Amino acid sequence: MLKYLWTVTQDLFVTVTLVTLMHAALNRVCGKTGRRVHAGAIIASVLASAALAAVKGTTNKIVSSHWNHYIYAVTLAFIIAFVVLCLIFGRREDDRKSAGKTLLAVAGAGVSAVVIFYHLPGVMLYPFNFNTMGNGYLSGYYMVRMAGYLIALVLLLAYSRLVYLCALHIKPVSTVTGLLTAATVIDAVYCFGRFFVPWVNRAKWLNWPVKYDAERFGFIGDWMMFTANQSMLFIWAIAAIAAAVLVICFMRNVHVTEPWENPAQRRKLRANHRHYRRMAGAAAAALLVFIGFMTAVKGYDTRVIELSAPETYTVDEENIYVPLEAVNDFHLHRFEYRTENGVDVRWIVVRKPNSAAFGVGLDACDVCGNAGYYERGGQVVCRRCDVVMNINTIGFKGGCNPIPLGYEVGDGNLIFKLSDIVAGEREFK
Amino acid sequence: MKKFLALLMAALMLLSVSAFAMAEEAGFDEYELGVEGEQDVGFMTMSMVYFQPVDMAPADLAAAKEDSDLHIEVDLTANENPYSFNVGEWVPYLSIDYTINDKDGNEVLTGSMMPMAASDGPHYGNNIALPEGEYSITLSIKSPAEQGYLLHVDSETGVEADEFWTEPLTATWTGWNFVKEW
Repeated sequence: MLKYLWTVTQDLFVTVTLVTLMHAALNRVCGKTGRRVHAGAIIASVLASAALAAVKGTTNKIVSSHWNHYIYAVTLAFIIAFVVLCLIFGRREDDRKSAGKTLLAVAGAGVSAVVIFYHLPGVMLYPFNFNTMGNGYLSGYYMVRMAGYLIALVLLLAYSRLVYLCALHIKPVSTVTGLLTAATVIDAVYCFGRFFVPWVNRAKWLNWPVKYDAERFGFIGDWMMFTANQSMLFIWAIAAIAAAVLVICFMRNVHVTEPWENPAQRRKLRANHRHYRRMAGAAAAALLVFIGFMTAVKGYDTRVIELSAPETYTVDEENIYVPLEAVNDFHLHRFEYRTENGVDVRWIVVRKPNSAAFGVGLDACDVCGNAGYYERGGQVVCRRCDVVMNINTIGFKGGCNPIPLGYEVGDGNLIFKLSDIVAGEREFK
Repeated sequence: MKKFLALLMAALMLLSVSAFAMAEEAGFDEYELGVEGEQDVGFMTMSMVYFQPVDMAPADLAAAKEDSDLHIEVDLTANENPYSFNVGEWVPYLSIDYTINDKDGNEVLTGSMMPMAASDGPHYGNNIALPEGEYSITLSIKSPAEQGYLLHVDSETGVEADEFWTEPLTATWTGWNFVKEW
């Protein structure tokens, strides 16, 4: 669940903020034409995203890196057109129609359409790729992930509505178009870096006549890597613009500045201002929640789990003895032995459910190496790939299972041969 | 009229997706990993590529697509060798471990590559979780003997070598600019 709270937010936050501000700006600058053209672009791009997601999810016809390359180019073209037209025609709010405003509406609608088309197909495919550990669509695994996914989507839609109403209210309109222009320029900076990914990485399909050469074009490679290393910076910059919209909306509604003729009219104005302050406050709260998703929740969800400390045992020249009463509680127990070569070999023991048998293996597997296992909610989980182990198959060979380790039971102990433990050295070098 | 135009716009978008999809060659796009390209490692020629995380079966033998950022692969073919592996073909039964370091040399990830087959043939690979950034990757390649693969060593049927290599072969790819484009 947590994973989809922050991934869906991270994937769509910029898109939602940009498209929302665009809708408000075009509505105010271009009137009905702007609103309708932009709404049409949103609908068309959502339908196209669904079509792309369907083709991508069911065939191998879509090579995303090719698509993304061209989408970045189209996005850049629309943003440049939008910024130029916005600087010329985006400063005043009136209902007069003009070719320039129509062009501005088309350019703005184009920006929104490509931004949606870039981000939405991947998000649409998430529910078809939830890892349910083979338990299907009706399992708890699926439902929990779907809950995180839907919560993020609903919150984003609510945030969009509130930001839209705030942006409609801010005067003059040039404040909104100015902030929107800044947001599109930030997106352009990102798209410009990403546009060169196939060229810098020497993708064979690109076939540009001039090949990437780090000595000549290193600055482009650096720019590309800046978008990779600092990808969150672009999100925070857009979040700052959204915050500016909300703060401006809030501050302009602290006092009644409009003229009023009688106390009733003043009360009405105050109520109206209070309404907008609350709206800005609610949107700011949603913004803070998103920031929390993309920082605290993400940090918690992707944290590196610390392995539990190794437990004690007795050892003689041939064997290691682990008392049965120490490992009889159905919890995961970890042990460690330092070999003559200075290698710490770890192994785990867990008593199997409804059984007197033990699952025993090295704290390593063939897939994830010596990442180790930890206990989560009574389950044994691989620390690297998060796969939940079937405790009953621990001790069997293969896959994500811990590498089997031989043992015997005698005199109230699990007995491990030192030679078997030492043989596990290679997994921990 | 306006509704008709809106529907026409949506239909055009759908058509453009379909047209692009039909024009696109089937398959996936592999990104070359590192600046070294192909390297001769022992008796093999190796190269590394990466692309989007993939579904693999059996699912419990590999890291899940959902929990991964990319799929890394090492493609390798045998050159002239004393073990009688066919020249130009894939070499089975290798144990390949990887270590990924960031540009400052700090180790960020270690693990094992699994043998598997994709539409472009057999290889060693795995899904891994890794943030975008600049990295190097070092492979440690242990011989098939690690997995109990034997050599005939008698004079009538034996291969040229008496045993496999005993110390792991290593190879490093540097300057890997990992950017997720999927």
